Amino acid sequence: MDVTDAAARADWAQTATALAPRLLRLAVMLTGSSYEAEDLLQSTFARAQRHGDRIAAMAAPAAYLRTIMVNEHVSRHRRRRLRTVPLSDALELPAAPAAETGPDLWPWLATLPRQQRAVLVLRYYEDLPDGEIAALVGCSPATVRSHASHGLAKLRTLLTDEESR
Amino acid sequence: MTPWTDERLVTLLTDTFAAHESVADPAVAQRIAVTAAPRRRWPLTVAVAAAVVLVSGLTVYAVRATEPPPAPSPAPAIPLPVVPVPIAEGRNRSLADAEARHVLADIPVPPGSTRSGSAPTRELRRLGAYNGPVDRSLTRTAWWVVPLSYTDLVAWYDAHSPADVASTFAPDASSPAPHATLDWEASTPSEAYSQPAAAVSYIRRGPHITAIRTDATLAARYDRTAETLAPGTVTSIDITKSAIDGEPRPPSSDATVTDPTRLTSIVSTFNDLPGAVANAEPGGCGSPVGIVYVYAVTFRWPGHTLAVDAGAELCGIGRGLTLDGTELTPTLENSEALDQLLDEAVG
Repeated sequence: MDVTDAAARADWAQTATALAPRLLRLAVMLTGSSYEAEDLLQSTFARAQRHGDRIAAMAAPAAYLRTIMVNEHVSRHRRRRLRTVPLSDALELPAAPAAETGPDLWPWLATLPRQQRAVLVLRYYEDLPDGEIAALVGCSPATVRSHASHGLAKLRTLLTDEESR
Repeated sequence: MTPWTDERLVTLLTDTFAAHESVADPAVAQRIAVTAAPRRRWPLTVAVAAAVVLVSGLTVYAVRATEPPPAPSPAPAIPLPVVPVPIAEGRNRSLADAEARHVLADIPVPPGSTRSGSAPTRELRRLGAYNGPVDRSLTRTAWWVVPLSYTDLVAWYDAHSPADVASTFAPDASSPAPHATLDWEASTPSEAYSQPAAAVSYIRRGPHITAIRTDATLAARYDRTAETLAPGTVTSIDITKSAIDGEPRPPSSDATVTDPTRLTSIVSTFNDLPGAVANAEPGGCGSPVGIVYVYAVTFRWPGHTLAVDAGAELCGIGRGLTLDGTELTPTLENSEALDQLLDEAVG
């Protein structure tokens, strides 16, 4: 979250608009669904608006909004209501593995516990160090390492099982 | 068989993330940014009126369920001019307790289910959902034995509850797992407690028998008892504004407010703050990035001081209170409105 940071300090509306695409991408990685991601982004902005002016004046508003988003995602109640999902989400269903590029882990990521997936996303998508991830998700760096290790182990098991079928 | 080393997995993972970035539509993101509405709190008078309605409804329910209704709490001894009807001590917890019982009673169970006085299986004790702010001492649990296979049980909840039963399926599986938990938001949040949630955890006991536990979870907010309120006789307010993060960090600044109009405004907004959620397990705690200001306040009136610290909102820690040197148990939620008033006062 670097390029947009500098450009987005004028005011809250400008900041939010500038940072929204990157935040939505993070939300997609965290939730695995465009529908859930949009919901998470909306919650993040709703919570952030209370401090909108303050956030817009920060040196790194994107990092602060990311903190809010991860907190919101990790600690919020799972909204498991049945609801109509836009047809476009059907495109996110597991795809057949592509031989050239390796299997798509997307469907397997959905099987990980929420915090474990968040750690993998923050480590390998956001490229954050373990200490920063620990502060974001509210645990120790050792727990972050443990989550990452268990997450990878689970993915390994699933891939191996898939190959043995 | 492919040797899935950590390095290969990480490469695959980053490729996967990159391949799915396109799911996030920038135009949709910007539309959300523009249309996201600011959070609004109910005015205290509305909240009190809602609480009264809720108490009435829950009392009727409690009588019907042959349980004693929540004991009425005594009114505060000292009338407070700023908040005409302060919520009495213990009221929020009583409301939360009644709501937990109500939610538990409302969780549907399939016809023919037999209620059990204790856990039908030891494994079932370990299942259960505890998401978000939950005070385990307020959790209400019931145990049942259901004359259905676990797959039929899940199908039944698909038809009779708002739970997303897909959460019980392993990937690529065509049937639910033999033990899992379903949960959903059970009722609307309240100024008195956190979002109530209902959970149904099940475990297979036989081809056509499944044991389940039903849980209702929430956490109460601290009450705004008389001692947590600033009276209308406040003569001055000391404010310390300080930055908790960011570089370059500016020095703290202080101000003392004595203007009657400003005093009334700050006291009123302070007294409107809801209590923080009490006794819940700690959630995530993020470090703020950039310059973030926090405000500590001390209200002074003849013979008394009420000190209010800045709390730590990102860690879910409310603003602590100290009355005449004695730390009080309740903490309060933060509020942008109060911070704004304090910032204006400091200048």
